[in-house]
Amino acid sequence: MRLLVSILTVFILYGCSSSEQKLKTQEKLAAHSICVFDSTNTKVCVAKPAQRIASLFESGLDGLYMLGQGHKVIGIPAEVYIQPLLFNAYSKIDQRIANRELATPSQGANATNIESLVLLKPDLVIVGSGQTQTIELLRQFGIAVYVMESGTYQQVKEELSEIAVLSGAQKRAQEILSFSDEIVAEVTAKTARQLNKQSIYYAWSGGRIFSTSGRKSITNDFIELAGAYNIVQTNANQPNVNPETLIEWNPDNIVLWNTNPKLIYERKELQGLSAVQNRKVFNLSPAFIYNPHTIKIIITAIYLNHSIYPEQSDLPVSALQQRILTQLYGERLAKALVQ
Amino acid sequence: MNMQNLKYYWFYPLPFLMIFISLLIGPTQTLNAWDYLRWGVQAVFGTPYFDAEQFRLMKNILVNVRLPRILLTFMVGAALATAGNGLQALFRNPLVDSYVLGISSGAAFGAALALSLSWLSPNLSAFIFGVCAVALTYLFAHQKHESQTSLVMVILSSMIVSGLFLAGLTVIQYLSDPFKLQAIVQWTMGNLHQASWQKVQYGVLPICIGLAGLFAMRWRLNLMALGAEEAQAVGVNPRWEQLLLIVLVTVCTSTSVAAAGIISLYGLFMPHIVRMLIGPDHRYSIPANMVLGGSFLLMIDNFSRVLLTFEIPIGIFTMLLGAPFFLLLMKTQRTHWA
Amino acid sequence: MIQIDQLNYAYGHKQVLKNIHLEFPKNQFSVILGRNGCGKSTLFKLMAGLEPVKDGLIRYSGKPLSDFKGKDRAALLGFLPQFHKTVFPFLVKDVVITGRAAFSRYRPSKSDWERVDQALLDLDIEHLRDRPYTELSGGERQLVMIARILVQAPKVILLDEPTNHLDVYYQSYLMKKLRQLSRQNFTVIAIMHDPNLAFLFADHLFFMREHEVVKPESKTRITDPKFLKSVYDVEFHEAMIQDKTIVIPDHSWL
Repeated sequence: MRLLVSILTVFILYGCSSSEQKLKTQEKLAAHSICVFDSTNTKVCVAKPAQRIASLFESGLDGLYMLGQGHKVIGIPAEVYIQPLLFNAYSKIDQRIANRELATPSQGANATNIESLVLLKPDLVIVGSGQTQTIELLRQFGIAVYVMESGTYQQVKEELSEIAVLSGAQKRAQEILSFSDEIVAEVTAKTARQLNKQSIYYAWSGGRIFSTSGRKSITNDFIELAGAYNIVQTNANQPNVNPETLIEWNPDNIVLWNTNPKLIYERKELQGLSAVQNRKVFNLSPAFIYNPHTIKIIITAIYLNHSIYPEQSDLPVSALQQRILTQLYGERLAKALVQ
Repeated sequence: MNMQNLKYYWFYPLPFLMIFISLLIGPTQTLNAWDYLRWGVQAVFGTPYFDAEQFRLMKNILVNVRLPRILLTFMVGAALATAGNGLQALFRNPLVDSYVLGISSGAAFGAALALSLSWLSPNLSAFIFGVCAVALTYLFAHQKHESQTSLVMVILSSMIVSGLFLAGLTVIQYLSDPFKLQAIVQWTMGNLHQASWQKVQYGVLPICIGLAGLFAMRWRLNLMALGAEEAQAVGVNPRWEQLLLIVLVTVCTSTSVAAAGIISLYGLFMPHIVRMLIGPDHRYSIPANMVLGGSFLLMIDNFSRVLLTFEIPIGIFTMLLGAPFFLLLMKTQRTHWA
Repeated sequence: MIQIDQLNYAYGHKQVLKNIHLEFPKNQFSVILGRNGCGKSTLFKLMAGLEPVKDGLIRYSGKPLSDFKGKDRAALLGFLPQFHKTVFPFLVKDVVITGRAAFSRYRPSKSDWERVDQALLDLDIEHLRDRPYTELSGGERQLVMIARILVQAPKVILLDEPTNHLDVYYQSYLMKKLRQLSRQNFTVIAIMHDPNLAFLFADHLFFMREHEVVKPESKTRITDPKFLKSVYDVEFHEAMIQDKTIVIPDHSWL
């Protein structure tokens, strides 16, 4: 008898809770009018342009500042405070970050404190696609969650305009995107005049020079935007190569992320590479302005394009970079970010 | 050397053969064994098979890419197999791996810490924390009022120490971004493809010292394998010898983990294979483990180099080979705690 | 040869040995008898050096055991532990030669191997020389362990219940050998609980009861049933066979 009662109680409790949640979300959906489809193909809606935005995805945060919506940011990912590169850059962009005033409800890629996030009362939360449990929970609470991936150049553009829609900055997004299309067109035209397309080998940071990226990666995208081709032909995302294979491929250029090219130049076995002999090892630093998961991927493309085809440039690279950065962040920041 | 003793010594020329063959093997399509043989002919007789450019390229690959990797693989294989053999004698249990004292968890934690902090070298950090783990294990297991440390206590305390370091490792992984996480995971799986002369230079001295020590102790391992009380029965205090053995094994294993990551189960099944061929007498099995341990890992690595263009961590191969073997042993061997 | 004075030992609060006073003469076969739990195993451990002496004195040729180190210790004392199982199938000759481990550091010498052959011969087990130890019977293993001690050649040999796992053949065989050894310049001390084997083969007998050494009153024989009853709590009857006395338990209840 007692067993029966306890089972019934459990069922009733379960029934109550889930139906309550469903009711809430359905109510909210009915009233909303601004909607987009995010990277998980879920409809994300807000009643009016979001005023309190918590971004737990660093590239999304960056996008908000570029769109001029930085004043609406109320929550940022913890890595902004922890990683020196990010902290330096964002301190220049937003005084609140320099003073450590903005809340960070997340601890890393996996650890989001739901309570503190909800207490911030955001009307929009931007999250990376890896945090599936957080996304589910937040949606159950009826909060608008926009899931970002920024895995390809195309997706970066789409997601920037979608965030703009949700925060009411469509006009600005239009400006940025048409500007970047211009830049890409310029680069493409320049590259068309090149006789032979050069190859690039990308090496991961932290000294893992034999870890690279394959054809289906954002790295591949910026290599192609730069007017070159990725010497790695497989689709695997992060393959490791045997040094012999690298020697055999003999790429024209080697690109590093925030790593001293000395690391390549010093390796005895790589002395025979043409990239080493012709000093065509390039370092993407300061890494912040080259982040390929944001629209700044075009800066990466321009920098690489000018570095690997030096004869073709009419303006120095730094001037071109300044031009783009000014368009994205304004003149003052453009100068500050390259230091 | 009569015919009966031949079974103890026939494999000694093996390393030279293996090294020679391994030098000829590689993943590249253009530079295969025939090319190298012709290269040898050209070097000796001057027959012009290759031009200067190609010649330099081939020499570069041979000396700077293949040779350090081969030497490192051989050293690590010998170190792990011999250390495993020594530990199996110490614990009087053939189901023991060279990582049983907690080295692998300590080293993995050290490497993860270094990779996420990025100002510390992961290999050095792995070595230090590996040694710390063993020291802690021994410290926890040591009991003052007993005349010697019970081996069951050592196993239990190594489990505690492993648990602690693994918890630390999990915390680090949890707080890391996806890229660092990948780096950590890849490191722990075992990586011989980043072999360089620098790694060989750092590793050769400690491993040689460790192996030399184990070689000197090879007869005394027989006594140790009979049991602690049996050692005392003939007037030998096993305590210092046990400690010395643990130190030697730790040096060997920590160095190989620092150089090449965690190569699972190799220190378990290699001594077994050797024991099946040679018998349990450590006077013959210790040198055999050095020779065969190095050669066999080299063979596995050659296999992985030839099979795929992209590198798969060697720990995966040894696990795939080792796990079914381990299972087989568990079913057929009777184990007990003396 | 061995003198034990005012030896006390306790495990925690439990007193296991009370004021033990014993003297074992040189080159003789002595046996310590008593019931299970009377403390003889603890006495053995203390004499063998497996546990440290805290209260009392055990002297070998006038000096405490801790004064003997390294080779001197091995030359003085060797003992037979109770259980000897091994996982690895070492050959008998390899097991026996480990008896020289205290004297030859890195590898056994030629003379060591000669000792092994001699020891195997003495115990009549040369035919087991190249057999794996794990394949032997209990009795054969015991003899191999004894061979190990012979190869070590200590002055004093301690044995803890050496006849426990042996069949009748090996029991008398072993006792005979131990007596022979005592005539060959060894001092042999064994802990046993079977009184008859001791009466037949030993030179000296000592009894323990409830953590103390007990002696028969003067002029009483050690085979006196009253005395034995106080030691074993069993009624015995004496019987004389040839020149030796044995005791059998009372069976009037049958």
